[in-house]
Amino acid sequence: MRRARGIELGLALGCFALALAITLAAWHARGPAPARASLLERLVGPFAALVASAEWVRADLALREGRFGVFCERAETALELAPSDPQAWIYYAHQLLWERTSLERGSARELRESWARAGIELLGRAERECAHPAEIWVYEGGVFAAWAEIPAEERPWPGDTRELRALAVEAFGRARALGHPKAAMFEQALRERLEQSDR
Amino acid sequence: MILAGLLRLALLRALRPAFCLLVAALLAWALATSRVPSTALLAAGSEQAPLWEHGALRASAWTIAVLCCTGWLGLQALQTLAGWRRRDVDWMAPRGASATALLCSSWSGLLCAALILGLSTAAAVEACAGGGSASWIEGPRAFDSPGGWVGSGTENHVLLATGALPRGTRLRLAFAFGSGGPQVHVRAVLVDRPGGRELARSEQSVGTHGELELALPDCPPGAELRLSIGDPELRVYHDAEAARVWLPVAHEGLASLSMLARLLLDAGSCCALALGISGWFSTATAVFTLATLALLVLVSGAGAEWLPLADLGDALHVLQEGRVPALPGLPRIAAAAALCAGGLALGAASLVRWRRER
Repeated sequence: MRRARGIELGLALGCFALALAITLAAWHARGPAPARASLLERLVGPFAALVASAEWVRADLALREGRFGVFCERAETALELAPSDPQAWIYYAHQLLWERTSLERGSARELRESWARAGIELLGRAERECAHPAEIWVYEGGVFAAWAEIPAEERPWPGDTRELRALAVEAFGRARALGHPKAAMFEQALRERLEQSDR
Repeated sequence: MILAGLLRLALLRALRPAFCLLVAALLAWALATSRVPSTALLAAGSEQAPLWEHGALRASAWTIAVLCCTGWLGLQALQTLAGWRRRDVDWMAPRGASATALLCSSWSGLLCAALILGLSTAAAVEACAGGGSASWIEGPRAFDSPGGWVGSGTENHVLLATGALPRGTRLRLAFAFGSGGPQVHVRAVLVDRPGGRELARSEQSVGTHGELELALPDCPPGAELRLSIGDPELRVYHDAEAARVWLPVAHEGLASLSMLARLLLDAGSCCALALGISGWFSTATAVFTLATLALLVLVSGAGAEWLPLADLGDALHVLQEGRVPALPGLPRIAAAAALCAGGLALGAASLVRWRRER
């Protein structure tokens, strides 16, 4: 009886050691951790990515039904669950920066500017929380560069063309510093445009 | 008919300290961490934003309460007959007690537990939300007609089918399949039919789907809604079946009362069905059957609103906006009563057969 218990205990300890070794190996293989996981992410544990995918499906359904507030709530929950994927942040920011600020919506300029500010603030959060902030910097640089080409009266951002190009150059520069392969090219192109407009 | 000892036993077994502590911890976490993101508040607008803030608390707390209570009480009901089969009941019920009395007593105990848990949730939620402001309760369908296309230069006229409406009522219209451009600009004007006096007007851009809401003054019966689109090249479908009237209520806390009523109906039906099913199947098969039924009902679409748990998703959507879900209607109550009676009859029949076999 005592021997059987000893074998059971040994097996349990062996399984525990194996699980610990696998977890540590996976931890090292994942590379540098982006940021501390949220409480919700830690509570859901290994199912966080799966639950986040389901939440993104629900968010998309709300978006298609025209319930944008509900879309925002579900997108935030999904990002809290799995904040590492930069594409998820970019998808959410895209809705705020382009869809909500669109002239087609017929919204007042103040409201369009509020959405643009909310989108840029979201990208700021993404830079701190996602696993590859360089992708976020490149996207942000692209947004500022595109806004610089829009006529001032249609633009959802209060800054002038030069200021927007300077912001884009700064964003691409940060992405380059983080090792993004195309950021240097974008930065160079924008810098040239900035110098041309200065001349 | 009701055996007080058996009722008390069912109540005490349902309200085990470990379960109560777990639900309390989950509720505390939900109430402490539920926040509406600033983007959702921006989408809601300054007028609706405070309601959304309270709505997030209510939606998260009631999701936990309804799912935990219904699931746990259903499990307790599933174990009841299995316990009786192990001769657990004889010492606590008189020999002459009928099968119906035994079942009704246990079921009433479980329902009392649902009431206590629901009231505690409502008290906790309202204490945290602290919203004493006015809101709107989901009213009846706005139109009898099925809807139709708006556009191609024509104006669409639909009659309001609700009778007179008080000041402050909101009329929410639904649109779909906007085509011809990325956004379709819809204009809605509500007029008093005999005189043609304009009562309310609103405009909104609609994409694939969209909603438009009109704030109404005192609205006489038979008012007419005129829908039109700015660009004659574009068109959009007016989904009149989805249009709802939202009636003003003085206190948004009425939402918790509506959810409490839903919880009692859902828990009552689930417990009765669990008692009935567990009388004829093993506990494992009964759990599987009940879980499958619950899942089917939860994911079923329109047309099944009268079933328990079926309208939970819609009610939570309404809560999320800080508004009040409609109180359960007569068909819903009748369906719950029928399910309870059916489940209890099924359980009583199994008990009678089991006693005869003994």
